[in-house]
Amino acid sequence: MALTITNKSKSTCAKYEFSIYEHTLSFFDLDNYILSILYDETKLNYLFQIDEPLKIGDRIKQLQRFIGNPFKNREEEVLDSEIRINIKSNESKQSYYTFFAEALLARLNIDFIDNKLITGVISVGQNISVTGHGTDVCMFSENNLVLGEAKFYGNLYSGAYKIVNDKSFVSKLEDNISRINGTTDIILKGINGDITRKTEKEIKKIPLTFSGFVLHTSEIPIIGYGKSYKLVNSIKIKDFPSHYKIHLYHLPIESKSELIFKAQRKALDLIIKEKGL
Amino acid sequence: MINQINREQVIKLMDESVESVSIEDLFLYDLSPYYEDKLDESFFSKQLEFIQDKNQLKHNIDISFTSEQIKIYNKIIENRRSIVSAPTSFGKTMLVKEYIFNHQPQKVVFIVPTNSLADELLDNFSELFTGLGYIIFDSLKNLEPINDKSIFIGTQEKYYNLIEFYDGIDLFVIDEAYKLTDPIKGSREVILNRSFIDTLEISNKIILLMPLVNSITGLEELNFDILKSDYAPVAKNFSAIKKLDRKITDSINRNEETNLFYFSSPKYLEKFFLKNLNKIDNSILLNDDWVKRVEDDFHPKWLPIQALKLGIGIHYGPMPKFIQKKVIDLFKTKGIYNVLATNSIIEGVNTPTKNIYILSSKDILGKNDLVKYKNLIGRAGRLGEHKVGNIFYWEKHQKQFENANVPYERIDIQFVLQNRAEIIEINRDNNFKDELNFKSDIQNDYLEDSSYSSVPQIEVSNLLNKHGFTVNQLKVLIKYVEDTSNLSFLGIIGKINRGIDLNSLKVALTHKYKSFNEMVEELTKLVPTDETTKIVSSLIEMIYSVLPFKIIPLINFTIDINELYFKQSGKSLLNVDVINESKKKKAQFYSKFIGIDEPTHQALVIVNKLFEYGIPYNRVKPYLSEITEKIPNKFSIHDIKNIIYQDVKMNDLRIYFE
Repeated sequence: MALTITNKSKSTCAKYEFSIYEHTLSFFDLDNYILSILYDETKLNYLFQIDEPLKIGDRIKQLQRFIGNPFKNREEEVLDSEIRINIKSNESKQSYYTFFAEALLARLNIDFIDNKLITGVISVGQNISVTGHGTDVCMFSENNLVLGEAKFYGNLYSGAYKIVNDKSFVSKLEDNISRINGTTDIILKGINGDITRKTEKEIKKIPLTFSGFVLHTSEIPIIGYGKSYKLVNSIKIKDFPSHYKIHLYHLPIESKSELIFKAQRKALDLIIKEKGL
Repeated sequence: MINQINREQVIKLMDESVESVSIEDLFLYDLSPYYEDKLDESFFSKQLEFIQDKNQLKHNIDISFTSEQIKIYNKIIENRRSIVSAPTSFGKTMLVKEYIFNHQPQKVVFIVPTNSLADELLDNFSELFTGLGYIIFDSLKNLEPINDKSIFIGTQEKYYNLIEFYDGIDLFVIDEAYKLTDPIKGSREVILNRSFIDTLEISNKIILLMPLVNSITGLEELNFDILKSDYAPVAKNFSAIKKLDRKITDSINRNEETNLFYFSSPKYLEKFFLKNLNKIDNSILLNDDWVKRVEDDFHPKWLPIQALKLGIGIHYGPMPKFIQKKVIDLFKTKGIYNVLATNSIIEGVNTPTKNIYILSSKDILGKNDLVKYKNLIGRAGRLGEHKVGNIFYWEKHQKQFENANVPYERIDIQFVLQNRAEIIEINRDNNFKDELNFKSDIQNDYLEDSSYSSVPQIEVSNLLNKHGFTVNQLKVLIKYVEDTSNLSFLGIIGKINRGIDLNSLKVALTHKYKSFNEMVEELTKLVPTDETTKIVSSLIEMIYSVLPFKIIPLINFTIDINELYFKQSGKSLLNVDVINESKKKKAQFYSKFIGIDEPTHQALVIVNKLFEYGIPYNRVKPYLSEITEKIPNKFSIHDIKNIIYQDVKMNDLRIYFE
């Protein structure tokens, strides 16, 4: 594993931490590393269909999720210039950035928290229409429950600030915690369609990790990160159980737009290879 | 809880506002058909997109299987014999289409309950499967073995006529197979059961499609795997209305939402129309030539055509098929928003609608109508159009409604195949008994007490099966013959087919009244108090339903049973006068409506097809030999349509297909 986690700060209550994904790679190699762990055949397949073996066409369909819609089914014709134009138009919407950060967070959660984690949804209680947990990523295994928020920002502070001060997220997390109290019907449904039912007691036993992740363009001097690390102290979650954790992580890269370009180029090349073109 | 009740709640919330549910809600409740409304650029959304892509149907890339459908589809592939029990909007037919597309079984038989539904599927299957080399058909010009890559789609009667030409079937499907659980009342049930029984051993794969029920018994020995799902991607609201007639009038006047109005009989339907709807004008642009043709061929005062001119569809059994088709086509394309219908619509065609109004409690809200009721309400709501369907009924029917609107967990059905009394009715043979491992206490002893016990029962049984009559009907005939000194043809009809309008029969078969209008005029003289539209309807029913499906089969049966008896005992069962009268009536029917006194199979099968569709013989006559020559050996009404459209000379007939 090229990445390691180094803790940078802890809240005074010690339940909230801010860490960095560290490495000894050059930025160029880091980009390649990120894409290699995302696009690895087995790892990528796991994100989409857990234990199902890849069938004909599956890999192409999975990789196609990482390219712009205008490129689908004409991958071999797409020029670099077209990707760059597409990225520019996407930049305003942030949509691809968010998507990419969420996918990477899901991957990193599996690699660093629990390799049995799968994405899915949690339904707590009888209220029909609040399956949504208000977070970007919801993952679980038998031993862990992870709610994640992912940001792909130009600088760390903006992304971290957004996560920590997102009132909607805090209230939903509090709401989730409070709704678990006294409920008898908690359903976890994985992306593979498997459904697990839990009682209040069972779900409360499972440690919940809130995993906030900021993928951002590296700042120089890095001394500026200190201001961001202090943000853990502003987190206030009501009735936060002792075995629950909030961990913030960040990963600096050389260039946002360059990584996104490479992500699409690499996905296109892999699709072309798969198609045998 | 992830169940259909909660699923419907999510659908209803979504119907109010798409914003009120999340993509996570849709995923939790398997509502993938609605993903498109909520997909975004999030990673979770992309994961779902992949699943949708992966589950995309091969035969229709615009649709993806839901997880419930996948489970059942995989079982269908695995099993040799499956029963798919799921709600109306589940997509049962779609499962079969996907199976055929992916596995391409050589010889497929798909039995449906009505000709209208068969026509609809013939259209759809022709579009889908002709390119794969399939011949889609329901009739054979020349009676010869069926070995081609082919799909037969038609009623049990049509299939049973062809069954001897199959030496094996690769996929055998019965739609609305719960009808195999109906008590044996007449030829339809006999032939359906016989079709099923006689195909069991020659079919590599069998799929029975039926609505969702709790338990299915009576097939335990036949190794069917029951595949159940309560999944439905549309929700329903139920409302009792005190002044339902007023609500209906308002709704039809507004002419904004699609409404289907259910009546227990054509008589009630017509009465309701004349009392409440006669003044409504939602006129639509109908082809003048088409209207004129219907008025010429039938009658300008016939209610269905009058109503259609006012923009209201009427759909009931006694109607030529091309008019039924016109009504449904207009309804589906929102040319008209309102259709008044009877039972014919329940199994007739796929007619989803926003609202269903149940005007009658009879035959739909009874404790024996549970499956039928589910089938009717299943038409309320349509994926992609109406997330929620509404069912309205009279407040005064509240109690009956509550008895009918039970959850599927309270609906149990039993196939007749293990019911002793019913087994005798469908004349099951020894082979089938062996398959079921039945004890041999079931004897075909139904002739033992009569004076015809010397007639071999197996031959009697074969005749009953061939003509679709029950043992009880044979017993009635024998008793009538024994007890009656003055036998007559009309007496036999009265005994076997009760309630036949003898005035209509007489007028219909009399050669003097050639055109439909002449027949109406004559019948009006006989029943001067009846309204013209009622007279037209009774004549249409006589000509298109009673004569071909009840009286002619009865004539054929009596002639054959008489010959069998004569062969075995040297004596006739019926006297010469009765037999001659029967033969005369049959000749009159063929001569007047089919145009051939002694038809060959080739001519008969083609004219029959056109007649069944509602095209009068005199219109077809000039082109009959050309159509007969050009028609392929395996054909359906669509092949006839193609021939008509390819030849300008036959322009006159195109109007029936417009």
